[in-house]
Amino acid sequence: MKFREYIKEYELFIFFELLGLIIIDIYLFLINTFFQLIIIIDIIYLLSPLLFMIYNFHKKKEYYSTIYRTMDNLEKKYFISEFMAQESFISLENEIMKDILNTMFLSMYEDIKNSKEKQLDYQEFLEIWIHEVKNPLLTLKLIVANNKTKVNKSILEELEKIENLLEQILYYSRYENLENDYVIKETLIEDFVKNAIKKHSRQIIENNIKIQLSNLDNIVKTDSKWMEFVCSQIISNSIKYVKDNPEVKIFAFEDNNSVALVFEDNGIGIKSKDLSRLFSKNFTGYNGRLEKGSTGFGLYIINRIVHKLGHEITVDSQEGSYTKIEVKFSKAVHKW
Amino acid sequence: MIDIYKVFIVEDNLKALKELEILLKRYGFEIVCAKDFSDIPLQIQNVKPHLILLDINLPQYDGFFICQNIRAVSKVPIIIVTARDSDVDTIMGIRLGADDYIKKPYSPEILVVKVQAVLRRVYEMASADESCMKYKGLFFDLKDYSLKYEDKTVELTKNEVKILFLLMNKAGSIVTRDELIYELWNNDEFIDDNTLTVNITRLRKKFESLDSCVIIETKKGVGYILK
Repeated sequence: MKFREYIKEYELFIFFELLGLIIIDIYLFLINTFFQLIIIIDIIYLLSPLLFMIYNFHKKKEYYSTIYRTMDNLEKKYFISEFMAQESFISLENEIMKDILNTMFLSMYEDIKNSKEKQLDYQEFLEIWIHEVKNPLLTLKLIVANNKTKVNKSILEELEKIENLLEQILYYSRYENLENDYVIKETLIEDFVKNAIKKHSRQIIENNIKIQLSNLDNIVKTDSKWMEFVCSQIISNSIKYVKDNPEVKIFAFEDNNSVALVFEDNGIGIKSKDLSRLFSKNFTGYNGRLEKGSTGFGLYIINRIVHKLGHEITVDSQEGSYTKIEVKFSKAVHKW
Repeated sequence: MIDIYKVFIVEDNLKALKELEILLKRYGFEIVCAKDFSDIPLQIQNVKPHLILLDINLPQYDGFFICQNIRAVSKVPIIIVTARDSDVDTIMGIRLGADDYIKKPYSPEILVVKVQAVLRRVYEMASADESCMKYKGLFFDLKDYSLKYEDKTVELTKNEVKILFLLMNKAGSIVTRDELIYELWNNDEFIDDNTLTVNITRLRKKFESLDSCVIIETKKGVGYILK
């Protein structure tokens, strides 16, 4: 609050004060009052509103700046009405404003609560639904296993795509709620990597993809369930875009303040112009459009998960020769 | 040694149950299915299966509850089948006495390997003379990864040990390439087709160096037989 702004606010008041002053001065002049006396009366007349205005300005300035300061320090700014000071000189305005803010807060809170409940409801339904869908999916896989034909083999491949897509949506729906659904512990890299590989066992074995693991005995601070999903999606991409003699190397290395987990395949690689947008939502790129109904969703979601867990992910690739994805775990203790 | 293992399946999805029965029968198991989910422990006492495949999501009772009740009357190995993928489920299952678990929708090959592995662990390893196997004068020591014939000894690698173990376990009958690969995968050895071939070749060389009459015969396109 600046003094000029404040004066502007009291424009009308000042106008009437001056008007009154002029009328009195004219009246005094007409009844032949001494000039000195008129000056003294003017000063007395103006003194009290002037003093009031200066006092009022300082008080209001203090009042509003206290509110702003409090708000700056508040993490949840919508609680400000609870922290508004009890100032007697503007207690009426203060009370009215508090009341308005409170009413607003309550009505908004109600809305937010409702939509949060809806979202949780929806997520719960989605989880149950996904788990239910796994039953017919399993039955289909068993039927295929009991009737091995060429047609069934390609049906199985499609079923496995559905399975992967289901996993994506399951983890995406959980992602919004990630804060309440993860446990950061010291975890052996090998454990979640191996579980992720096993999820794709059939594709890897039948397509004769060579898996080379080395140096995975580092311990990192992460959530194993989320990292298993991240690894599973990375591996899924590696085995989707293969060339001759497919091979996936998975290894970790350590430097001063981080541990890096690397997935390197000798697949078709990624066009350099696609690299920068790889983690964007709905970005399918040249490879995605080329084949296999890519959703452009997998990398987007794992990028967000990795960041939320406090790690980093980078991609390096040479078209026609390799793709290298690196997840970096910081060794420092994070504030979770 | 038990000739035919009896597997008891607790599963409420009838179609999946039928397919599971066909699948496991093809691998030489005898199958009994639970008809009613209210008195599973009683049925188990009557049937006396060698292994139970227990689904967790059942209509009347929770699979965990059944698992606990089975443990109260029997030590029979249990493999839990769950559609939920939270770790809590698997930890709880193991704590309530399950021997292993598998997550839906699993690969049928993996299920078979898990069933075989649990059965072997419970019934064959226990009855076998600690940790060595013998076949036609060949002495296979699982403790120090060595293979002896008369006075000659060769050392084996980890993968060779696992492969030879499976072949010797079913000596005289075919072990398919898939069985071997999936079994190694189940033990966290992610080998591919070429690696298997290389390992078999190395095993053969080691057999030759021992001058034993045991050979690994290739059944083209199918698998191997230890003779």
